Amino acid sequence: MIDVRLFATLPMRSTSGRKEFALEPRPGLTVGEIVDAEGLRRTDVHIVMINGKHGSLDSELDDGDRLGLFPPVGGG
Amino acid sequence: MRRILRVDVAAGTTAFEDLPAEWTLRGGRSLTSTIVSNEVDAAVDPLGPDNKIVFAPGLLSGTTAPNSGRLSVGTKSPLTGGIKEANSGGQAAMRLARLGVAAIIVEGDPGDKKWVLHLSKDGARLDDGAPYWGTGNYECAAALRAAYGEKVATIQVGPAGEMGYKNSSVAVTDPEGNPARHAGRGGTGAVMGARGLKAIVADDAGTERPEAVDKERFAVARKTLVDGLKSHPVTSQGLTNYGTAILVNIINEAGGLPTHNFTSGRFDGAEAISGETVHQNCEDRGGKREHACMTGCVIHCSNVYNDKDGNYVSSGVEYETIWALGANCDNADIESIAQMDRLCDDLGLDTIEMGDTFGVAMEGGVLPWGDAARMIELFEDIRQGTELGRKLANGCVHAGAEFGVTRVPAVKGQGIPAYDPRAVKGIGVTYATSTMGADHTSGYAVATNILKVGGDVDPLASEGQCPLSNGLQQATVLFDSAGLCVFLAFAALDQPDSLAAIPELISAQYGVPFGLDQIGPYGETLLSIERDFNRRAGFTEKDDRLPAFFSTERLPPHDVIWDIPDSELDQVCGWSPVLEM
Ligand code: SF4
Repeated sequence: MIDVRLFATLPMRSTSGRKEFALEPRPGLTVGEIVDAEGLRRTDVHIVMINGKHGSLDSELDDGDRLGLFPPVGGG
Repeated sequence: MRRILRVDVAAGTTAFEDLPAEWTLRGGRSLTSTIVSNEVDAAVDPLGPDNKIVFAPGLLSGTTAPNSGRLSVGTKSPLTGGIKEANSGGQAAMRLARLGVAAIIVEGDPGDKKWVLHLSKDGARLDDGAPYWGTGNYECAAALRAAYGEKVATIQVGPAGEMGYKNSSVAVTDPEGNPARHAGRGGTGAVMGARGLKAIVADDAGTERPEAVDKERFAVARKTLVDGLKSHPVTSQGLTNYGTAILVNIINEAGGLPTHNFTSGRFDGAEAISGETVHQNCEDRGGKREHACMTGCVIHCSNVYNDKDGNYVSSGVEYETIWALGANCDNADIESIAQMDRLCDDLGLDTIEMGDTFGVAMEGGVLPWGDAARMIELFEDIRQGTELGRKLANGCVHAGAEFGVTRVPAVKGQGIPAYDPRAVKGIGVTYATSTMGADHTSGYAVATNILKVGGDVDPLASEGQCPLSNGLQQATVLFDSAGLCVFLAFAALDQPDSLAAIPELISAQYGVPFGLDQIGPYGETLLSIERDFNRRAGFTEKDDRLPAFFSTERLPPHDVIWDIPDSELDQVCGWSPVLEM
């Protein structure tokens, strides 16, 4: 399974409102497709983390991956 | 006309001096560091009679430039033994600027005397501070308002500074009068306490804004910057909606959230202490999820945190604090963190140094991991000055020596903040090479490493981190000298027009040429002065290193070590000739 987590404003903007869910893997599945499926605009997502490393909307996901999606955030 | 106020706490006198013409473009950090470098012997005992403490609003403080009310506090640091500039938000800097004060230099041996420095349009004087001595920052702020008027801004030292603790801050009141903003790092509070100075009261009634020499150019540049801040998604939405605490989840995802005294980059309890949780609690309990720490801030990254019964606890439960007293100590209880934030603010303790200290104490078996109730109890020991309290209130290096712990996360004696340098290597370079000791704000490479603002440099790679940190450290000098909140950089790093507006504002305000191409040299000149002071204080290139365990212990989940070569660090550190200012 793929572990998907949406942070900050993203769950509120998505159609399902889910913060965290598991997704059945399939060959060639990209981050962008998950963003689309959640009803988010691709431009809403600024940071993509796959297993703690930066990815992109085009990155493909494998079984067991942990995906984190963030809007633009800052702090310090 | 900007002037310097010299305060002699031995004689109880104050005197204004003209600001030297060659210091027209010195303000905030560039003024405090220049004065400390010129007037304080680098070899003095930081808590002895010969050290001085300098307060300076930024070059743009008091003007209509957005987020321009940072106050710089400069001294020789009791924590690092080197030069220190710690800055804070709050209302004081703009009040001082409106009073025409470029800097306040406090010097002399007060003996047993305690003072409150009062400034108004009628001048400056020292009043008896004894009635306030011994009070916590909240009680003190309320008493000063009652005595001097509801609208004054105050700069204060809490019990930690009075008692000479090396972990002690200088507090500044926010727009509501709460002493919740702090020049936290490096023990500036102890130097203020050693001068017998409990507080500075700034009353700007009857004063005007400092006027720009070129009002039209100033207005245009101001609009450019404000528009930039209001259009950049981080400064108009990210920071505004969630504050800095939003970083808990992203730094945790990135595997760089120091947990259990820097043994892991992920914390199981992250969600419970996340920005999302803080945001919800602020909203549900009648607090505020948006709060400005100073008038004129257009970002509002701060919050007002209430307890479950709706009573005010603290203003600005922020990322660094949540990390320090939370993840670093295996504590996933956000209520206890907010409570400890309040205790730190009241006592005048730096939350980052406190969290590093608790982590070391837990590693030494002084208290169990994650025991928030015991942590809260220990603040009473610190307030009372018990033997254990003293061991905990002098920073993490001191605690390591007391408790026999060698894994101490510090550089130049100052505790490492909320990003593990093994997983966010750019900020590691800043920790190692900053003149201030481990200080994330002095070159915030996290923006580029993790947040993808101002470019994209892989946080786990060693390439590119030194030039990144170097450039950021130089630019940060200008922000710190202008009195600008460093969060403006989130917009300025991505928007060339917003960046250019900053030197333009300074140029228009003072009627002197100052452009984009001078940001680097301005920063480098000042960094050279600070490095020269540190060298005279005994620092060598060996002090520009991270603790050895970062190079030997692998950090999960990425299993990374600190591997930036010393030779590269030394290029940043500028073991090079000192420039003339
Ligand atoms: S952005 Fe935050 S720290 Fe900066 S001035 Fe505004 S409230 Fe203060």
